[in-house]
Amino acid sequence: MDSWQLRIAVLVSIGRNPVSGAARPNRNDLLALELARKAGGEVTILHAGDPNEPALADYLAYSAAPLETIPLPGGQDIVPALAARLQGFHLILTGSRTEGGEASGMLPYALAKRLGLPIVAQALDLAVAEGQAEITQFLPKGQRRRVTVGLPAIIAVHPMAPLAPRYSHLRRVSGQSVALPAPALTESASTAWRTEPARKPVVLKAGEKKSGHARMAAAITSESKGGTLVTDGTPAEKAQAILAYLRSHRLIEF
Amino acid sequence: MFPLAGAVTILFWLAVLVLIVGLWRRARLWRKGRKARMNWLGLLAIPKRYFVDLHHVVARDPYIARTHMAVAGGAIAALGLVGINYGLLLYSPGLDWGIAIAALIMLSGSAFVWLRRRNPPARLSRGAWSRMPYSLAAFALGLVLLGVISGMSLPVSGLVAGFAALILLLLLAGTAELALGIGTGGPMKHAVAGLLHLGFHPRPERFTHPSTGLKLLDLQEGDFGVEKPADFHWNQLLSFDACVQCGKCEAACPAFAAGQPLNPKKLIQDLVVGMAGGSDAAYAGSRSPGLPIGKHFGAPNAAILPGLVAPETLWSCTTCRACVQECPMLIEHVDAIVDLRRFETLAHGDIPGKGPETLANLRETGTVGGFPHAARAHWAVDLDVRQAQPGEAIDILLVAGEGVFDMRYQRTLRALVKSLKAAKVDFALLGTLERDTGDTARRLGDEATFQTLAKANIATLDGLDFKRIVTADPHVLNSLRNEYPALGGRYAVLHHTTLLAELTRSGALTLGARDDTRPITYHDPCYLGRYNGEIDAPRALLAGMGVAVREMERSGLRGRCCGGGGGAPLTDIPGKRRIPDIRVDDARETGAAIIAVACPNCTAMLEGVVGERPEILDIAELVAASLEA
Ligand code: SF4
Ligand code: SF4
Repeated sequence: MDSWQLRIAVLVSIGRNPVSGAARPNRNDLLALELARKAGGEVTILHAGDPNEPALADYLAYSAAPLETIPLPGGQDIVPALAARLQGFHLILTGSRTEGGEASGMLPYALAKRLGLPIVAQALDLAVAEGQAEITQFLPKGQRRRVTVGLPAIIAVHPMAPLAPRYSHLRRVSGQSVALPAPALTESASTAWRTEPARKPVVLKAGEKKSGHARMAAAITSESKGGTLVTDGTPAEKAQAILAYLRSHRLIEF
Repeated sequence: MFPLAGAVTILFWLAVLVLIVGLWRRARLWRKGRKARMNWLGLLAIPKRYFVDLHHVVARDPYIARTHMAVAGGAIAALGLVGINYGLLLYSPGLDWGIAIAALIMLSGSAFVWLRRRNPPARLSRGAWSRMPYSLAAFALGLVLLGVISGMSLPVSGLVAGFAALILLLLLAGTAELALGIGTGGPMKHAVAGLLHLGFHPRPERFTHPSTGLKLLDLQEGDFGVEKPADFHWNQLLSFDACVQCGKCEAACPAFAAGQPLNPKKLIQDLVVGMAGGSDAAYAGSRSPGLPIGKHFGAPNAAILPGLVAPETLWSCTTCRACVQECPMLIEHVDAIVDLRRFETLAHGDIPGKGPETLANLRETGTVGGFPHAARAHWAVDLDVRQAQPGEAIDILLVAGEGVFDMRYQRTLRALVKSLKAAKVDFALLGTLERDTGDTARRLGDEATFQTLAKANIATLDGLDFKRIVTADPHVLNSLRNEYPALGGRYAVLHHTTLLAELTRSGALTLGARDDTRPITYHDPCYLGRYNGEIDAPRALLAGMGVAVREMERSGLRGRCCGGGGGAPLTDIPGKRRIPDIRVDDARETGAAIIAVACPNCTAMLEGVVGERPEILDIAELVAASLEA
């Protein structure tokens, strides 16, 4: 009998309903939680922030896992405290899209850097076997890629992961939630932030003149976009090729 | 002593004993259920409930009403006399003649049972029920012979002895049916369970006044609905045992007609299977469309879903109450379905289709579709209508419902406002202060969200100064009128058709005759008709416009659902047809070119029917148009 127990931490943030602004579980983090539930093993939900935020309890409604909160006031860098708590987990799951506030969507990368762990982003599905995780990754235009990563690893879930989280009032009222001891405060990280109202994102798009047929073809196939496929050379050379492309299309100005 | 008489005495007391033991065994199954508030006085009310309330339903089918009266009446009279004459060892020939006459009535009734069963409608169950005419006739014939032979006080002879043997044989066969029924779960179980059910009905209010609102769930006490048969209240389990498998509910069910996997009769039988333990293999009625028979298993303490009842069955129901309306045994199907939904939703959150999304919207935005409250009064922005404010007294508060976000319903509301203005009614909109009533959440089993929304609305309403509420949405009406009182919100709530009818009666509103002469039929919304008994006001308004309504076959309290209730459009369980298509067919049969409606959900469902179909117009629109005439 295999006594090895898969331990998964799911990092969750507070989201906002885009219409009412009501605090709610971040939809993308919910997908991460659901993926963890599906993968089996022992799941812990982890949040860094205000342990008294009522919307946190909604995470309990979506799985039977316990919720731990690292009490941290706003403006703090949460990475060190999270990294400390994340020792001993085999998988760290997060969403990859923020719904507002201080959540940046950068957390999985910052943590990966701090913990020295591999990160797989855009995950749609996950299977764990023999100390490895096999991940189905999202690629545009219906393409998928399967990648394998050794444990422990950080996995950021794509917003389009085909999962259906289920809200249970019973789990919400019977779930367990604990506040961990507050870590020592660090220098505020918010100085680096500039807050402003959300704008419609401007799509960076290379100007191109193509016939309607060509555009249609480009939209439905993955090859006919034109351009060059850079497969050889060192990473630096490849980066140069990208830079040259961006400059030539006036997408960056330096 | 005549040996036949002695044998009958023994048989009688033996049967009584078997019946008591059987009842005790069955009662042990019922008692697996939860405690219920008991009112022993209900037992005294059984005769009234039987002869008035139950008979009121049965009488809709005069054939079977008379047949049942003959069989059951004859049997009870005959058995009573046998009890006196043989049970108490009187052996009076006079009473014997009485037995013969009563049994003859029963025998004639049995003949009619046999006739109906020769070519039975599809809704009737076969199996054990098919032997009923024979066992009933055997029993009746045995009693007739007993009465005649004993009544004539013939001297003992070979012939008489032969008859005596025959009588005993017939009586034995009949007695087995009657006495063993309750203990073994046979067809005659309905007689005992049915009478007790009338005494301990889980909704005793319905015998004094219409009672349709769902029961409040005590979430704080950890009540999350029904997972296993033992989670039902014991008197609900008893009520399932009263089912006679007549299939009246099946014939009325819109989901069944649409080929969705729901047959209310089968559902009740499955719950009986669950209570007694076992499989549905013995069930001999029409199945839940598309689902196999013999593959469902249950036990008192085993989860009902998905092994005993398929989740799709549960989520096909539109909560239209047509089954409850038709059930001669006064069984409350909708309560059972909602009990099961509650556990599925509150414990697992397992709702198909758009259910989970809708409930998340309700939790986060207080609207079904995830809309901003600021947009709630947009439809009236150019109408110069007041928004209700605390401290400002008004006569009528207009609570619009979720439909305010739907352009089609907005036309209805605008028409209503026009009439209210014409009648100089002092009214204001609840508008941006409104939250969803929680009707959809509740019917999807999400009692927690319902209670949150209801409490928020009650707090708002209690802060306003109005006399009456009017709404054009029967679902809002039903919530506010029948379900908010349990949470402390008591208001006088009117449907817009009632208010408009009142205004025309008082002369505040004068309807013109329609110059459009196209024929009109009227579709009763379930939540206005069956749930609230209001079927006259819309018709009075139509008559006031000079319209002779072409009634559909299923109308009024027995109207057919449009398919829009109970969250069914959200769970969207596939069937062979869509319910609104069936309803529009009903309307086409009348030759109507216009279907008058009185509910935004009906409007949306019926307008969703593709192809050529009658025009759908709300009564409010018809009234407003007639004002110009
Ligand atoms: S539930 Fe009622 S209507 Fe349906 S079959 Fe049973 S007795 Fe008849
Ligand atoms: S309430 Fe309506 S849809 Fe539901 S089972 Fe009864 S008849 Fe069928």
